[in-house]
Amino acid sequence: MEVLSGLTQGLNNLLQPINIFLMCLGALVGIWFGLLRVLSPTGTVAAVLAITFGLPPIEGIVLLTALTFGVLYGNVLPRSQLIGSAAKLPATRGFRFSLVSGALLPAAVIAFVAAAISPTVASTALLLGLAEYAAIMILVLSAMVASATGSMIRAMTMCIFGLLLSMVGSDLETGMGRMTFDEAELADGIGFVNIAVGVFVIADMMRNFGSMVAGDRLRFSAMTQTPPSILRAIGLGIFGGLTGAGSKFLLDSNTRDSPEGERDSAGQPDHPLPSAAEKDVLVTTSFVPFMILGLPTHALGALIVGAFAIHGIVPGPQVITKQPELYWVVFVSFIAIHLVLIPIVLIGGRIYNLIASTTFSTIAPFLFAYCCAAIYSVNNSPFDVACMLVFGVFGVIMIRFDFDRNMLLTAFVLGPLLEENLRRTFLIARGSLPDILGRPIAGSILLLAGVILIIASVVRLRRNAAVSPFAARVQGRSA
Amino acid sequence: MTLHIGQSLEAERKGDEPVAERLLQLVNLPWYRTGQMPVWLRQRLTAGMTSSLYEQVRQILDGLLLTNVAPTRKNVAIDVGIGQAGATSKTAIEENRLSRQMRDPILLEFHMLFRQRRVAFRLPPIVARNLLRSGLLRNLFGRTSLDDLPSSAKILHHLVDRGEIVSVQVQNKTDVAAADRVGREGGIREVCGIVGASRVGIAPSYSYYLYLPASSAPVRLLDGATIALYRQRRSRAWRLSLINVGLMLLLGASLYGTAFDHANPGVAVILMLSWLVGPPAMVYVFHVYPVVQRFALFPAFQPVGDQPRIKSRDFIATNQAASPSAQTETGWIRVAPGVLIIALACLALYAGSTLPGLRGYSFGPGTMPYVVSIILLVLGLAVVVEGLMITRSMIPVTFTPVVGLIIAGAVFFVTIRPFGLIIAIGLASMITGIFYLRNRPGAIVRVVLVTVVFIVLFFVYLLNLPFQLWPRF
Repeated sequence: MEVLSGLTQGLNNLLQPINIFLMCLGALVGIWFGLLRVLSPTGTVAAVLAITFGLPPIEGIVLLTALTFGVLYGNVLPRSQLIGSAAKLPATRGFRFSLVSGALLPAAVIAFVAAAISPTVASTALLLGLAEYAAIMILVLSAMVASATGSMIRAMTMCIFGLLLSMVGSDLETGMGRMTFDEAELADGIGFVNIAVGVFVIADMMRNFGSMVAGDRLRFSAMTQTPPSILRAIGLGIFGGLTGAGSKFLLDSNTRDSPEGERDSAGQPDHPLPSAAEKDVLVTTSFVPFMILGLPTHALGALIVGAFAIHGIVPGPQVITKQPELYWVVFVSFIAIHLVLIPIVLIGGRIYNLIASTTFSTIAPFLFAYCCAAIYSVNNSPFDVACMLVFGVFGVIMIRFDFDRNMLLTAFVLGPLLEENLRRTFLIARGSLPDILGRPIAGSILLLAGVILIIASVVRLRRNAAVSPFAARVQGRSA
Repeated sequence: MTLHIGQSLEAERKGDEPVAERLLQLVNLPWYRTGQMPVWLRQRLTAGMTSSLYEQVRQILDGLLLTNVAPTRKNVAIDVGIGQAGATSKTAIEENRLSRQMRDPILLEFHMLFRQRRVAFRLPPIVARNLLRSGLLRNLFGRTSLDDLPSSAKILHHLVDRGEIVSVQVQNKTDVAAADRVGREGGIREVCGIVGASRVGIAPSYSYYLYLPASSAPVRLLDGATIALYRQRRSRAWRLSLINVGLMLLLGASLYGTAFDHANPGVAVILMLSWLVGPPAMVYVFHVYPVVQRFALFPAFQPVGDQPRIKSRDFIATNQAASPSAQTETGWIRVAPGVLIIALACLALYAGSTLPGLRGYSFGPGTMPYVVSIILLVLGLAVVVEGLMITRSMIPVTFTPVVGLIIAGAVFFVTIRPFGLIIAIGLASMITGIFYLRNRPGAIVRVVLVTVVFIVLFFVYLLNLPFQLWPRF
């Protein structure tokens, strides 16, 4: 009953005219950017993040949620999915059935189940100690490193570099400036939005220069998937959402120039529907550890943690008691956004044809100017714009040398939490490492993290990890 | 050409007007009598084509030329540019087909887009000379000539694959004139002899050049048209740079003692430097560098023997893949990411060196940064070792947009405070537009206007954010 009343409360809060408008706007903008294949879903959310600071928390989160799912679906839909078949599409039962069964139902069920179990899990989570929290964070980071598509060493390097960047600024306990080079602008640390926009938006703009997208064709045969493949997708999504494993692959695989994407010989994303379902379920499921424990398991979650932090909300088990209206709105919005997305996808065929015909070159000047203005508006500081540019160049270097950008952002968000928990844990344990590792839950979780890293290393060595997926594709093509 | 003539006749026919008389006149043309056309007629016909037809024909010719180089069916091969008069047999025509085609000026001009562009009105000759035909501004941001280079590269690859060119000889540096030329043109050397599969050296029937890059990148065999394009663009870039410096001096002289007195010296110096360096750099990046970048599409050669290649006379084809995307990391680039990480770790260690560390059981402000920096240093070393041990594929990243966005961002950074949002956004979007929409000035203007209007309405009036809109004096 508590769940039902909570969901009803969430629905009441969600069904405000401004929220419905923001949902539609977010879905449209998300589908637009998804169809353009210019930015990854993470990049699109990063670009919009700065302007949500001016909105109240619920409206901001609703906009970000709608944008996230919109860009996910826009990203997996073939660009010319409606060209020549705009009139026929609503009548295509296979498409409609697949969309609903592959995306809405799992998302709705998972959102409902997550909402149902979350109060219990949250109350259990309150019993976890500082050491357990720190161990879970290390587990999440380890799972992401293990599932990184490129080199594990490079993924780990980015993880550590992200942690290091999070330490720039004033120390939380003593207030002493750390690694600021006596720059007043760095006293509050490096802006989270500056890194996100620089690494995900500006770097992608620099990367996608001058290349155009060839029109894709809709493959209806692939849209009517058999139930086992959808179930597999749901399974993968739940696993990825809970542990962070494979989230980079799932969230970046269908971006246009992503080197890691699995595509068939014609360059089409393989099996669009399971891919959509996987991503959808991944994002929906990832909100469970995120809302209950406050731990993002991928870069998108990290962005939303950043948005919460800007509004003064610390995600974790206490959100359900301190801010129940926000807590339930998030879960209800998962279901509602799909109800908004389906008519938008099915009806707006001709509009999407027009949108999809836009080239990246045309919107690049607008996108860059928008990013500059949005970043400047956060603190009215040109330093933030310079910071964004520096991280943009760094992002290009990361792309060029196959470093994992998602790791950087997630580690940057988790860094302060991890440091705080480790500090207190060491203080309580009086600096005794055996005491910390001897705690049954924390020790088991750390052991699991170590096992995951070792297994992943062994598997990679056996697969001859010398050649990255991108290299394999290039070599396969040149052969 | 026959199809084109037929199409033109059909288009000009009025009602039931008979075409027999016209056809009778047409059969007097040399095309119908001897199977070839005089140069002037071919020039007139190619010049009279519309742009769309011209592109269509050029694409068909491109495909046919390749089928001619490696014909699958003999009747598909095209006979454009082959002088029938001197040929003794069909075999002789087949053998000389390619070399003759390469010497045919009309075909080459047509294929390389050197066709004279027509304008709807007549301009004064000096204006036309400077702006249009071979002028400074024509094709400054255009890509049309660049798009032809892959076709040239394909032809040269076919020549190498068929054994028509196995090795080449270039002028030795002891030749004073050649050495002088090499000194002027960097690593470009003219080919004076070609050795084919029959091991017989012949003088090249067409101008070929070897490009010797300063780095360890492979030597490339280029054709005359590519080199001509490179030289033309380079000289144009020089002229533009000189004009820019002249304009700068003129403006500086006219404003001396007036505007500079009230200007912020730092901003003035930045503006002056960016004016001096920016336009020449942009001209080079847009205009010259794309040509040099496409040299990688041409066949690769290497010197024969152990001599350094700058002193070598003989070069042999290596059959190296031309696709830049298939290249692997080589040389210093393999350790560059590791070195960068190590440098960042050292910087972090230096920055955190003054912070207090562990106090009893409590972490100090410097404890975590120190631990994390050390781990980063170790991982940086691991990345270096990994780079040395594992050969990775190169993920291509273009340099141009990085420069473009940095310039645009720097302009926004400098102008947002003194000049306000409208000018800063306009300049930033215009510079980005110049880089991304280079040959579409109308589109740049439209995008800049839409961007400025949208951003002002959205940020200032809808979100109500406190932006300074106009310059503050």
